[in-house]
Parts: sequence; C-alpha cells; structure tokens
Amino acid sequence: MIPKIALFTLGDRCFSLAVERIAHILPMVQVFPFPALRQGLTGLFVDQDGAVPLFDLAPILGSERASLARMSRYLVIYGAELGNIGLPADKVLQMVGRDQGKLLETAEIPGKMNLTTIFVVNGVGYPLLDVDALLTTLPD
Amino acid sequence: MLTPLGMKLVFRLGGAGFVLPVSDLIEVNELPADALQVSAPQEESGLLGSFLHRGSLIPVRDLGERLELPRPLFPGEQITLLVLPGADAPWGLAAERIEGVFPNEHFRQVSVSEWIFSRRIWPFAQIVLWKNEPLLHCEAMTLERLWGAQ
Repeated sequence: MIPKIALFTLGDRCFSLAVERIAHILPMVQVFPFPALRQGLTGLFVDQDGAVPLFDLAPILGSERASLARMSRYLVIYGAELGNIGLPADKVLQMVGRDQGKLLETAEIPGKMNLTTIFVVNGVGYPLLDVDALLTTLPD
Repeated sequence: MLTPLGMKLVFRLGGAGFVLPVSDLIEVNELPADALQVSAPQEESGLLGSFLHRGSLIPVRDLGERLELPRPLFPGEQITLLVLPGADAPWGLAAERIEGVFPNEHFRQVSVSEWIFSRRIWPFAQIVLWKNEPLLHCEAMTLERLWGAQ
C-alpha cells in the first residue's frame, strides 16, 4: 500500500498531512473558549462525545491573520500520540500518493517552527506537518 | 423533593464555562461593585477585595487573574459572588454570570489528555459536557489551592 498525503489550504497558506494519521474531516463546529490551555491551543470542541482541542496552525504556517483557526471551514481530526487534536483547514485540495511528489528535507524555515519537510507536487511545496513534534514544542 | 447535593451550578468567567457542585456552595450574592472593600493593601495576588459576609470579612478572589483570562471581567456595576467553604474560613469567588443550577444527570464527564492544560496555570484537569459544551469542573477545596491553601 502506498502511503498517501492530504493537501490543504488555510488562508493563504498550504500544508500537508499523512493521510493515515487523519481520523476524519468535518465542517467547522463551534469552538468554545477554555481557560488554562497550553499556548497554541485556542479552545475545545466536541467530537464524537469527547472534548478535543483546536490547534491554531496559522502562526506555525507563518500567517499573520489572527483567529484564522476558528474561522476556517473544516476541522481535520488528527490522531496525535497525545490524543486527538483538531487542525483548521479552509480547503481539502486532494489526497495523493507519496510517489506522486517529492519529499524535500530542508533546514528549518525561519519563523516557521519545525517545518523541515516539504512535499512538492506539481511544482507547489506543501509543508508536511509532523504534528506530534509540533505539539511537543507548545510552551506550558 | 430535589436534594441540592445532586445538583451543579454553571457559571461563566472570561467567556469560559465552569461547573461547581452545589454542595460546595454556601450562597450566591448579587452585590454592587462598591460593596467590595478594596482600600486595604492587597498582599495576596488575585484578590479583588473583601466582603462582609455574616459579620466577617472574607476575601473575594479573582479566578480570572489566576487563569490569565482576558479583562475586564466585571464591566457592569454588579458582581456575582459565590461564597465557598474554605480550609479555614469561607471565601468569595467572583463570577460574571450564573447560567443556573442543574441536576447531575445533565453533566457527563469526558476524558481529555492532561497535556492540553498549562500545568503552570491549572493543576487539575476535569472536563464535563453540558448541553454539548465543555465546562471546567471545579471544587471549592481544589480551587482554594490556587491561592496556596493546603
């Protein structure tokens, strides 16, 4: 089986995720503000009778648009090692096999934490997010 | 007849929802903001002032300050004061709004990973769902520990 990669946009940025880590994708639901969350988590939403944190990808992707996470159109439920987490997305572009593009290991992109792998397909580079690694960088 | 022991109070602060067992509640007061005595130097961080409760001055604590919630939390002239039992004496907790008191069956505990909380701010992690909204579950004794009570 060829592992697949899903391509997304968020605002004017794009990113990609390993399909096998995606639990499901749903239209944006109400996200409730919640106290004492780690920085980078912008609230909680209810999914399948559980409370799931929303991870704001905008600063990770270098977007300056505030509140991008809550205003996005979709929630990608990602099965992280620490538990399910919601990732915001505006468009689900496509899912492609890894052999349809190139994975480029780059030096860390200035201003973009831990974005060290770019999936290039059809001439466009999509940062491939290592969500587990990103979560470990969230300050207490 | 309903017993208050099987009920919970839902209140809001800084846009977030909280739930507290009614058994942890001495009383709820609506009082004008100027009823708080704030003239004395406030040595304790997170203290809004003091309030004369049944003949004794009790501290009124600011949970919003402890949780680093956005301000201002009390834009109006009225403060909703929850009087809670403490390790040594009652104390007051200021809330923005009371949603009501509901039977325990209206709440369902959900499990969340403790890592989502800043341990620096909030050492407890219990979330309940109420009307499909996640609320932070509080208890008087654990809340008081935020201000150093044992």
